[in-house]
Amino acid sequence: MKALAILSLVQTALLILLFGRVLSLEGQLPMESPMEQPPSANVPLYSQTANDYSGEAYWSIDEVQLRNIIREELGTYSGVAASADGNEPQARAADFATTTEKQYQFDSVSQRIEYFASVGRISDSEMQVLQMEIANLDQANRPLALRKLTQALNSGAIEGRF
Amino acid sequence: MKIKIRTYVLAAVFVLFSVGAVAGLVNPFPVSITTNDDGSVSANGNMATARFSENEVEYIGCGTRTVDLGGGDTFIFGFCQAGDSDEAEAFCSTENPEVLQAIKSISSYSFLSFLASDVGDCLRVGVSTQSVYIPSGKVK
Repeated sequence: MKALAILSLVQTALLILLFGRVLSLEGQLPMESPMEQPPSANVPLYSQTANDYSGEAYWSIDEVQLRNIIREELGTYSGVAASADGNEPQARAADFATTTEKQYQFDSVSQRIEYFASVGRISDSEMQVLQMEIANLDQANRPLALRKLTQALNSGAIEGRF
Repeated sequence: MKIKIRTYVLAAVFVLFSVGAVAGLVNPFPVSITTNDDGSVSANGNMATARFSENEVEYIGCGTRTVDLGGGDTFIFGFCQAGDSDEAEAFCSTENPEVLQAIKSISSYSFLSFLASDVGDCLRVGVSTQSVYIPSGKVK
């Protein structure tokens, strides 16, 4: 009985000591905790959703680039927006369309060659038509298409003759 | 009378057989195709030898294509192609004006040689037009 009483007193004393230790540790914690600091408008908040446009620093770099990209794309079709570099939007739009068309034509011829490679042969008449299509490419793409055709013949992918 | 007829017949027979008689050096050259270590392909051969070979696959030749694109623009390209008796083939194409000139100099019974790069460009075109390449019994 006496032993039990002593044990319970010791246990109580230990609990009191522990409680006091916890209180002292809480008092030593720093005041400026990232968990407690309110969010600042200048700090990029990566945890926010993509639709949150309140962070000014988040858009300071991308917004300019995005505007230029949109301007160029709209200028291709309307040619109205003024550009920061001073070039005529219509001329740049025309160049862009011409380059795109040239690439489209080359891609078309390239796909024709790949088609004949998938078939395995090209007839004489088909070869003449293909050569005309190559002739109508721009000066830069003609040798590329011609080379592609020649390589297909050399490799045996296409059975045929010039 | 019979002797005269026999003489005429014999003379005619000799004349017929003598048409095929030729003199001079003849050098047939079958088409040969070689793939080099760098991926380029060499081909050479005599056009007449290829044309009159016993097989049905041998050939060699070059040509050009000229396309009027309008507005003063013209597209010209040349090509060479060959196939040997083993059915190996070689092709090359070019827009090089000097190489095109060489291609245009090809005539009947020419000996041809060309070198195709690994991407199919005609790096070299050789043309030789000599009597040795004219086949026996053929008149140009």
